[in-house]
Amino acid sequence: MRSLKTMAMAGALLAFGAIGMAAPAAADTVNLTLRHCWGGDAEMAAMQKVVDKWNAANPDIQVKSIGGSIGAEEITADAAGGNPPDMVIMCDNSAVAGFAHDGVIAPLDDLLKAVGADISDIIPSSLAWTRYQGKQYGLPFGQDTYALYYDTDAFKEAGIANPPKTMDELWDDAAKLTKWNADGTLARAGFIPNDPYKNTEQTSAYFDCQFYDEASKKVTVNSQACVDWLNWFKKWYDTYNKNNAMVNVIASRTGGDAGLLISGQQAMGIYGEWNTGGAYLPVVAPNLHYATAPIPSQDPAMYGAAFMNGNAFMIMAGSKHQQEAMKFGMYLMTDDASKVMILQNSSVPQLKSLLTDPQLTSIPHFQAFLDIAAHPKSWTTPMISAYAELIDGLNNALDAVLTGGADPKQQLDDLAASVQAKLDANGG
Amino acid sequence: MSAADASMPPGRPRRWVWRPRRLTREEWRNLRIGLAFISPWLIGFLGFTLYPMLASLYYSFTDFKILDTPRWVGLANYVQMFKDPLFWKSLTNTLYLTVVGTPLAVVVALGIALLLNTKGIRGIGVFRTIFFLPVIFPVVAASILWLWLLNPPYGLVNQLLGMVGIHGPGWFYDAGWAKNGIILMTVWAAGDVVIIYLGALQGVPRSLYEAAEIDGAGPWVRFWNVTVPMISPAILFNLITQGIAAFQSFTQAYVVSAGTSNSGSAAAIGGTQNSLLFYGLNLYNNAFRYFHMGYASALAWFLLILVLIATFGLFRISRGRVYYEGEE
Amino acid sequence: MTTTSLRSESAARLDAGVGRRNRGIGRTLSMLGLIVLSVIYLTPFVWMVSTSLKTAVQAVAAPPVLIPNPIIWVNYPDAFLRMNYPRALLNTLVYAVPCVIGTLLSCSLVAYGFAIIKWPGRNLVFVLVLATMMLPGQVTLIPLYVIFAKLGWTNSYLPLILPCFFSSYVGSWSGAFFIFLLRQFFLGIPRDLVDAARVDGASELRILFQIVMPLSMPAMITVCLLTFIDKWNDFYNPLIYIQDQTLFPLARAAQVFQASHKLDWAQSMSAAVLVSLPLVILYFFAQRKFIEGITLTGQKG
Repeated sequence: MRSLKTMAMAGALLAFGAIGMAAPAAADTVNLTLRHCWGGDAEMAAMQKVVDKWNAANPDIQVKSIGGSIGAEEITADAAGGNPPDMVIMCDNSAVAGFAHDGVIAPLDDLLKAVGADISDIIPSSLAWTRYQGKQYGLPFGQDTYALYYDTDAFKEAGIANPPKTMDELWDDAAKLTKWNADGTLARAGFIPNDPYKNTEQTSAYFDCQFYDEASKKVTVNSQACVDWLNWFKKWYDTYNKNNAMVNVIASRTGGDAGLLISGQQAMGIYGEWNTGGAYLPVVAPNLHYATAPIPSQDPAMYGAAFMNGNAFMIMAGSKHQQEAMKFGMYLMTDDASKVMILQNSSVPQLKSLLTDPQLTSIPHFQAFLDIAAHPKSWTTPMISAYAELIDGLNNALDAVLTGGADPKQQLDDLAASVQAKLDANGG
Repeated sequence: MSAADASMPPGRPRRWVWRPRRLTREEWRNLRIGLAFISPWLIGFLGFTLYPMLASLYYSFTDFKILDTPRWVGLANYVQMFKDPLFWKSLTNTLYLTVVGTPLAVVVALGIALLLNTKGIRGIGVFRTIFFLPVIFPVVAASILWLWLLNPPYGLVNQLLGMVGIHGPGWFYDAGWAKNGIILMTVWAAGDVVIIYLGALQGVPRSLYEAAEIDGAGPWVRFWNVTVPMISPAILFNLITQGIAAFQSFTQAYVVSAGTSNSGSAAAIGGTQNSLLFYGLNLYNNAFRYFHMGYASALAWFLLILVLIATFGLFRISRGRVYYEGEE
Repeated sequence: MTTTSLRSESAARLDAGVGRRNRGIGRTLSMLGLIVLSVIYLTPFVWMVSTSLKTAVQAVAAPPVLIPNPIIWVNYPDAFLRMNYPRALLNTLVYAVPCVIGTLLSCSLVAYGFAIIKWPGRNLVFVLVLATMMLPGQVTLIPLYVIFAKLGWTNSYLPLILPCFFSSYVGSWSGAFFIFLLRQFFLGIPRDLVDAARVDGASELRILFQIVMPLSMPAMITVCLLTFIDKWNDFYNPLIYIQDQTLFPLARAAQVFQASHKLDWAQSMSAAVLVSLPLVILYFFAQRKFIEGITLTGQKG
């Protein structure tokens, strides 16, 4: 019996042994943990460089960084658990509202005041996508936006001089650029509205479709404008998807986001700014001749603007050193610190001062994105706690309309009702 | 190896007669030692099965986001469940997989097992190795592989179909065909079912066939009147285990929908038009994407009830149709 | 029964040549059917290896090409580095090896308690063990996740390994199934051996470790193999508990590699080969054990 007990204990020890012990903190120094979302070797190294520089200059506040892509569930679980990090950088700000609503992250307004932070250099629209119900819950740390990439050789061949500016021009140009095979498959699509992403967030505002109205706290995704917008997607499929021709082109994409542009199967596409970067198109497709321009808009006032979101720096509500964390956050908002990651990822800066930085303006095809970032009408995700449900539902509705023959109005009505119910239950 | 004393089919329980009587010293000793030996399981059962089961039953009546304490909402989660179109979608998807896919896999596997059981076949070991290989092949690798084989324009399947003049379907990109792709994978990976049939078939006495042959029974009659009754426990077992597996289907659909999705890496999973939104995926989305732990618990309990009803239903239907050795 | 006479009668008929030709044709047809089916079942594997050695362009060639030309060996080191294979392999082993040990230890103890020690009520409890096999794992998932999250154990393999030491995890092959399997085997061990050891004053644990377990090697090996393969292939549990990509096991690393890169099919197939190769090798060496284990599952019905 005794040996049995010993064995059970040994087993338990074996199992518990893997927990490992956290290193004890030295006195007088505040140790902070930063969980960030970058996982590639080069990205991790770049972020480490940023952190190392801080650590060298601030012996009293030492930051330990942990990389690797993050899901919202990880942060929520960390908050529920015993040992959350002090700071988090998510590569996707859409979770900010949910975290703020659930009390996972701390509001920053008082902290910013306490450390005497000056945030006037941060682009206001970038601050907007880390705000929830009037309070600042995060700081932008590099952002993403989208533009029309087009194959200049194909444009020459079709005799098109300038990129399209309106949706009508886009339609006409696409028709000229489309080439069919004898068997009814597409040799080259002019434009595919839902590749490489569904492009719901990326195109809605060009049709004046707003997902949510902040003032009335109503989900407005079933407005007539939004119905028209879904019908715009549908028009492409009705015309070009006979025998699944367009779906087959999407299914054949390999080689990253811009794969269809590279393979010549698509002449125009909506891609993010990071594709221009040194790690992607210049390396993968050195012979591709392309250019970038703002995405065409139905509403002329919106031409030049685009959807923006990005990496959000947040301080966990459970952190015991929020002021120190805030100081580190403001360090990230300096030109030097921001530029390291922005150049590494070829992303759009969140700082006004960097919009004209020669190191960024000299990246080929990058100017279009810097202009979008400066455009006052550029928009972002609605900051609501049930955003995951909204965007999932919207993507499902789009699928149902494009390939399932569903009625756009019906789909959007159902979606609006179900998300509204969740929001009302959540209180925002 | 007889399993007679404890592993009898749940459909025909042996009667347990509780005779209250004093245990002898010897019996007390054995009870203590026996319980000590099974204590790992006992602790595990209490901690990893019974407690979580009861807790999830409780959660299913609450509004519970993992950070807050659960708030009692009565039957609200169950009411919401029956009003949720995604719940119905996931249920019908899963039923399709179970009702179409499971019998198909079980029948194809039986066909292969019958071929393998032909008298005098050579190389049975080699064939068995081949048919079993997909079973140990990692599900993730298999899903990536089938994603490629069933790629509409470039995949081998549609290319081969094209050679004989058939325009292949869009498989995972077509809501009407996506589930058939998953079923194809299931049938391919049903080698364990083949092995179980083969074991059962090899247990059928040759003499029965020979007797039937003398009575003038053809191969078809022999199959229905000798083979099927004799291996009926294996058929029932395969139907139940494969059916339960289909009910809990997750990984293939996850890998396929992430691999075909164009809504970014952080999106919900479920395939085009939610055609691959199986019950387990809907539960996963609700628990780990939206953190509706209460609602997800209600989904889990509904699943449990469904599985129990289906299993006992199968036993019920099979009663009198399944032949257990030593019964007569 | 008059089996003997029937058999000889039938043999006599066979000797007379009746039915022999039919049987010969049947055998040939069966053989043909098996060969065709084998080719169909093997084609995906052949195609996987073929694609994995192609250029991205040749992978999508129409009509399809079977033998790659040129052979692109570099796809393998590429995929190997990009999915951080050594790290993912280590993670998989960190999960699988303790689980194999835990399962073997705990299930042997429990099976011994059910097979060798006669205590009142054991059959009733054993039925409970078997009944847990029917439970869908989802029904325990959420409360366990809540507990482990509160303990701060997410992003570690502890929540996945711990149940193995208590023979109570769910999976393709659950802890309960292994208890069943080992119990069946232990029941076949001659009682005399056990009784003799008891007379010699050996403790029950000693009997288990020095007599019963060594005599049950085939069943032990089956348990180890099936547990190992189950953990190697486990996607669901790591998906839920492990978010840090440096901790991903092979199965998850391969999935993320395929989904996030969508680079080219040749590399995806290289990744699929890399993830499955160790298991396939193991399978070819120990296939008899695998198949024996599966045959046993059929008997539990």
